[in-house]
Amino acid sequence: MEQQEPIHTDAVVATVLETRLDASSAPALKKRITALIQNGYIRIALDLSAVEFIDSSGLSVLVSALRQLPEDGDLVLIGPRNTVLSMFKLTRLDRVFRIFGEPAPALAALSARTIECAMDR
Amino acid sequence: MRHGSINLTIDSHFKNVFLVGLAVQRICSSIPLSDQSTYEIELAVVEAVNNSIEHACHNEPGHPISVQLSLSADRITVIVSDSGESAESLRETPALDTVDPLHPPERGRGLQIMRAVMDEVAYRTDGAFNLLTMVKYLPITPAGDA
Repeated sequence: MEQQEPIHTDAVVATVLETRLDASSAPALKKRITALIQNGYIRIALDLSAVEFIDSSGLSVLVSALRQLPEDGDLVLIGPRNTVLSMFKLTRLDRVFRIFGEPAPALAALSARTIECAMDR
Repeated sequence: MRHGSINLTIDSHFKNVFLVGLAVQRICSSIPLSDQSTYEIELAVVEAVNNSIEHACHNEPGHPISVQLSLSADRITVIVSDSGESAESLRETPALDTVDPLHPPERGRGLQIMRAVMDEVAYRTDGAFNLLTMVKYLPITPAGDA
């Protein structure tokens, strides 16, 4: 389903390899994200660049992931194609998720959040 | 542009829905439509079939769901039909722009998406069948261009 690359003890980049994030594939992605969170990865950068099609089931999995995260957790999205990005805009979920075109600023945002939370402790 | 109609039937299982989506995408990409419009029509059809599987067939395989796609000069008409449990009508849904960014709902966007991307969406029950009809108007092209 996805490749994972830990970038910190509690941060990970997960790449979705499915080209269609729909009602058929969404449950498996939901399980994988839940497992990441349960394993302590509460800051997640999800690379969507391979996703060619997303429907409301796919969007629901991402909202569900966001809801599972603790208050100091974070979920950012990387590289959605224009058509996929248009679904976030249409459903106003672009106001909910931080979406980045490239990995570098997404990782910087996650790192900044890590430092910010460490300073809060 | 050529006119015509095709009927596709799948069994009521989510694993089959991509087949309908890909067929619709291929048909739409052969006519003068933008990639965005093609994506939106595919999406609306997928959402409609998903709704049939979930709400009419209660996620139970073994029920046929049909998609009739008709191309004419000025529109694409898609009728998704099933013989499962009927809804009395299309339920009222909040507008997409009323979503609270701090508390987004996890589910329930399918019908909103269909209404947002298609020009007409209507639901009716005809005998044993539930019929969801969706229409997308095509951009007018000068005679002879298509």
